[in-house]
Amino acid sequence: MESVSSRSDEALLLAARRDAEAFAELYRRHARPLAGFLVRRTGDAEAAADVLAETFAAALSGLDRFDPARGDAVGWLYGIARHQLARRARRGAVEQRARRRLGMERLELTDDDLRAIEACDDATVALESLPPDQRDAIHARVVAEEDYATIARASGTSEPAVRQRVARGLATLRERLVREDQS
Amino acid sequence: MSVFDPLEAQLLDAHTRRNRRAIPRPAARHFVAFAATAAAVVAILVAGLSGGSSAPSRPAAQPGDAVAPVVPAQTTVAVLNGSRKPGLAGDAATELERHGWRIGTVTNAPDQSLASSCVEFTPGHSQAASIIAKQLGIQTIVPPNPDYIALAGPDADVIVVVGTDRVRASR
Repeated sequence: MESVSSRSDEALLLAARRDAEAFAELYRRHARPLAGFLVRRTGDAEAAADVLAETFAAALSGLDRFDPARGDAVGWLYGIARHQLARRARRGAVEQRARRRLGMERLELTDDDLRAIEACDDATVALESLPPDQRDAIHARVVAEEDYATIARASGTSEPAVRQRVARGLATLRERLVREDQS
Repeated sequence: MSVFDPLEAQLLDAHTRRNRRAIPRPAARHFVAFAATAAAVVAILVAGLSGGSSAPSRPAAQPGDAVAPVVPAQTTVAVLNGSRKPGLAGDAATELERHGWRIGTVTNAPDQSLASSCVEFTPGHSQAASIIAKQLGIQTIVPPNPDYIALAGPDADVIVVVGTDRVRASR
């Protein structure tokens, strides 16, 4: 028996018309990257969480309209998300139409929820993936705005070494984000 | 545990309610059957009034649909078992054979916990699919899932996937 996790997004999306587990797997694959995309687009974790919920609700309502001959599953899902972003920009608020139709209540978001959404941002994920010395140096310099001398003293290294860590780390981040945007 | 899990639970719940709503829709199906009958009656009357010598005009073919009428003996039907009950697909295949369809692959579906049975059709065989669905009492007719095409084999025109909703129906 083939497990759900080995199937393509398109096969899952087609199977999801009948099979709730296929839809759940699709959600688990794409919810976090999509949340990251939405945080970057909105700059607001609460709005991103709202658009995320509305996007998956609209996808669930529109499962029968997905046609693999016209595009892939990820493109379809992000198309719905972009549509929701555009509607939010026009109306100044996230729609709840698809959620209401499905009887889904708006989730109350805790601070932890908002942090979890923010952590999906590509830039944050990329920062986490840097070597610890570069990550700490970037955090101290860019986020905490400490000067190089203070960072050097705190980490027990020289100032030029800290400068080099920050520069290397930022270069890696830039390269990664540009590559992801192009892909 | 963050917002992602409650949202997943909400969506799963909504999916279950959506499918429960979608399964029993006999009224709509009866209407379609009634409309088709009415259209046929009108076509015959019109042909009769216009001199009776001209043949009744055939309705325009849908794009991708076979123009030829459905011939069960020339239509291969694969049956996949989407439940854990052994023999469920075989029973459906026997029933289809009685109706004159050519039976292709009969095997297990990759997912054996499908709640509702469905009939899937390859291009040109949507009419055959709706006849088969009626014969088996299945409500869902959909384009094929690529996973199922691979299992059913290249000769399958129609794929019947029997789910757990048929476990109770079968003897």
